[in-house]
Amino acid sequence: MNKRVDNKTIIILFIGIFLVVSLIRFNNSRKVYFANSNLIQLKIDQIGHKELNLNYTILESTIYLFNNNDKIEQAIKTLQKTIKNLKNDKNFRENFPKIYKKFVNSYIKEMDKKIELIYEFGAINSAIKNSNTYLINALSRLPYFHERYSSNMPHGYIRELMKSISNILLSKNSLRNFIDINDIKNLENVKFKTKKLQEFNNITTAHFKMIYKNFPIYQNYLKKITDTKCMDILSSINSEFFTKNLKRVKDINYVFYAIILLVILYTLFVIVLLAKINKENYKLNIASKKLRETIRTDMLTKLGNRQRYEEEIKGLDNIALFIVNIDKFKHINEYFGTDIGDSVLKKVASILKDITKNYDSKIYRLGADDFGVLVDKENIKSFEKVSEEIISWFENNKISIGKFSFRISVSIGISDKRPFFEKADIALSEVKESIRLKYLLFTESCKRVKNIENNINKTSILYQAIKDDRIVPVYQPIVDIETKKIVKYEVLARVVHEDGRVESIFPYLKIAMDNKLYFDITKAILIKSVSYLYDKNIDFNLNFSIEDINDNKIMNILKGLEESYKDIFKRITFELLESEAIEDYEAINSFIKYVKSKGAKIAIDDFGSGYSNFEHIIKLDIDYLKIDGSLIKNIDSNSGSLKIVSLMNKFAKDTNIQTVAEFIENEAIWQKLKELGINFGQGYYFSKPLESI
Amino acid sequence: MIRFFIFMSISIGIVCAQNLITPIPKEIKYNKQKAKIGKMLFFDTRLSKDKKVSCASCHKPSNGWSDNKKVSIGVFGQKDTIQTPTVLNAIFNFREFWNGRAKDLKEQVDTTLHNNIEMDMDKNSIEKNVNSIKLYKDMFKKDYVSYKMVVDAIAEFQKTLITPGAKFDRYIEGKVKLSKDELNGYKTFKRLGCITCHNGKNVGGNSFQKIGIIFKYDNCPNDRHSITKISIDKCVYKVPTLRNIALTPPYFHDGSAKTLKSAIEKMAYYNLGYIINEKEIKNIEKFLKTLTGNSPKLSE
Repeated sequence: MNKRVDNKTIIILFIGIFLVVSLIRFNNSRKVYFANSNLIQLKIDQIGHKELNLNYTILESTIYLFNNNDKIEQAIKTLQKTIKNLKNDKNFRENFPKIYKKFVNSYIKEMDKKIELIYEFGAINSAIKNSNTYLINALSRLPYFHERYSSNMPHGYIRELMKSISNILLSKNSLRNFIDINDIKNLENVKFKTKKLQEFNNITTAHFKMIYKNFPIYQNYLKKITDTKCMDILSSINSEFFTKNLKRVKDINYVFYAIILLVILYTLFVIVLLAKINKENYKLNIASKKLRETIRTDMLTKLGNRQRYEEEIKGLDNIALFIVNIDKFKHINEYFGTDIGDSVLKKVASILKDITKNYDSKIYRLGADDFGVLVDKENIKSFEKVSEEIISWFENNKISIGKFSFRISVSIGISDKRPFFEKADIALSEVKESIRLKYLLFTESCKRVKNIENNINKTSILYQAIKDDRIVPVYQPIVDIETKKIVKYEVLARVVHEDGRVESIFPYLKIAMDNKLYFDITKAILIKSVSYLYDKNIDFNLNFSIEDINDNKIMNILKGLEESYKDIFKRITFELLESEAIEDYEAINSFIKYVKSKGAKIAIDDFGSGYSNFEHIIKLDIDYLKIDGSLIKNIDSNSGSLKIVSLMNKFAKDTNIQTVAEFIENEAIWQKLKELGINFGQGYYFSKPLESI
Repeated sequence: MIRFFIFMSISIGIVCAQNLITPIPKEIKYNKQKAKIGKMLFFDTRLSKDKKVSCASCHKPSNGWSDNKKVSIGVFGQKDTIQTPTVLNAIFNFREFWNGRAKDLKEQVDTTLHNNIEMDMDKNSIEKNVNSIKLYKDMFKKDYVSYKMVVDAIAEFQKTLITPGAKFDRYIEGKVKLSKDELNGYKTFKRLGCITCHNGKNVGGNSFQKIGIIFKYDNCPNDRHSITKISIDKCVYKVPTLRNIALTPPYFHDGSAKTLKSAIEKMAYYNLGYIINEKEIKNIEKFLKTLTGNSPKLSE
């Protein structure tokens, strides 16, 4: 998902960069194009100007009698240079090939022709001008001739001469032919007696003839040179260029607008995209908020749960937590069903809220039937007052769910120290265990605290002892009550502390069971005691619990021992602890069957301590009953104990079971037991447990 | 359009103020090294087939860089058809040769070298001859001297052959006064219409004109018609420069006028339709002599 978003971003970024770059590049090439086309336009205009200039110099050379021809040459050269300039224009050639072709094929060709004509015209023009000069000069000499040679001149000669001269001048100045060849011929044929006059006439008529001959050519050339052919071509080139260029500029502008439009669309797209992302983000935020709320809320009571509680107490110190537990809520569920149970929870939640609202409290559901009431310590007078209020509400009010109406009670554990929950929970547990207490503020002296500390301490001792192989067997002699002679030993477990102190395993047994260490203890004692006692040639008792019997690993070890140590079972009596936990008599029966088949004997330990059930005992195939030490200890002073022990003994004898008494601490007890006919005994009166025998 | 009118009005202003004859510039820009080599080549007979003719054989510095013969004499003593025009101030001519077939000096040099009467060489033999001479290679600073470089160098040298400082130029510039006769000669030169064709920087050399426009001239070899084949171009030649004209007899394309006076008289008759008197001829001659300028800088 992330990767895809990244790709998209890159693509969008790329498109953006591409658009901006193309906009800049296109704009640049647009500028270049405008500059180039303007330059072409300028060059075309220049050619026009230079041609006009050339035409001007030509006309000037026809008008002025005296003229510097360098100027014409200069004008031609300038024009040719300008033409060459445009001809060499790469942009013109490449971008406007059609117009360029027209320029080269049509305009330049025509212009070359025109320039040739100009050179050719130069000769005619000079001749005409010179003859004009001559004729004007001749006019000035006519009066002189008239005075000097009038007698020799034919009548009307001067008049005819002047007529022809004026016709020529008229022609030259009007560019229309007024020359009459007959006049010239007549003049040519005039004969003079004077040599000088004849010469004059000859030369003048030569001029006339030259002019007559060349004037039409002159006219023709002048017309050709000054015609607008080249100009027209250039002008059409110009307008074609202008039109084409205009179209191009338009096209370029359209593209430019299109790109700008794209940029705008792109920007809009990005804006829409951003808005969409924002919207989705917003939705996602709300959803995740909801989800977080859900996670932190108990769906049933709509109260904050443990998690919310943990979050909300962060940084708070001056607070107190009341854990309010509904007493025997399990029974309500079992009795009325969970629907009613749930309704009770909801009701309790709202009741708690209501009761504590004055304290600005926060209510949580911290466990199945545990509610947390969190208050600021400044808002309450005392824990007692709050607790009493809650408890008395439930004592004084029934709660009704549908058609049911019943009373419930609550217990409260309180803590105002971190960790609030754990400490309040300990206090609550203590309340629960107590008959008297309804609520309790956690203090370090709470019984349970001590227990817990003790447990933790013992657990670590036990762990370490197992790890270091410091669980060892000791052997307490069992004697014949009659003879006081040792008949066998009971194997007991001891914990050897790190400092060498030896302690009974008894205080650790519950912890061993809770922490799944029972196996390790049994295993150590079994192996050590059997290997120690095997060659001692004496019978011994091993303690076995229901857990041991149910433990396949222990049973495997037992089988292993039976195989390794020949006939060992014949010397063993298994002491089974009689307790409430025994429900599965099948397992015990099969165990008894097994060990008995190998020659072992069975004893019931601590008989009469709690839940002894004669009926069950009868069902089992047992050899001994070990009467619980609590009955033996005061048998010499307590007649009740004496009666029970006597009854037990009688019952055992009736069912052919031998009896063993524990905790025989003095002679008086021994005497009583001897009187009762108990078979065996053990206790400090005879011997302490021995580390070796 | 506004620009055009400004341009026109400036042009008109110049025209009105401009002289019909303008002075030869005192300096001309050229490549010194090239011109130096060009000068050597100009006098080198190894550029001709018989190794006897150099450019200077016909364009003799002592004869106003022209020839005193009626026609040029080329390789193996062959006679050309036309009188040798001067190379002085040739750079200012609008075309080269009598009939204007070369548009500039390079073309003129190229044509002359190839002409089978004049030098009768080709590109390869010129390159062969020039490259056989170490000095040329050294001067060109090249391992191989191409034909184009040779032509370039000669043209560059010819470019330097200008003759500023003529009396008439100084007169135009207001530095000296012309004598009465010289001034009368100039006035006559204008009045008769000589100025119509002989004007500009080179007092000629800027247009094509027909010899014998009033009275027919018969001997017209190698005229413009021989190139353009247009009938109107018969007897049409480039107008020769009158600069240094006193130094370069004989005159006309056919060298038919042995003296300047004779040339003035003939021109007046054939082209202007005048029979001019001795006084006028003399004055014009005196005027024409004021067109003789200083020797070119590189001529020594």
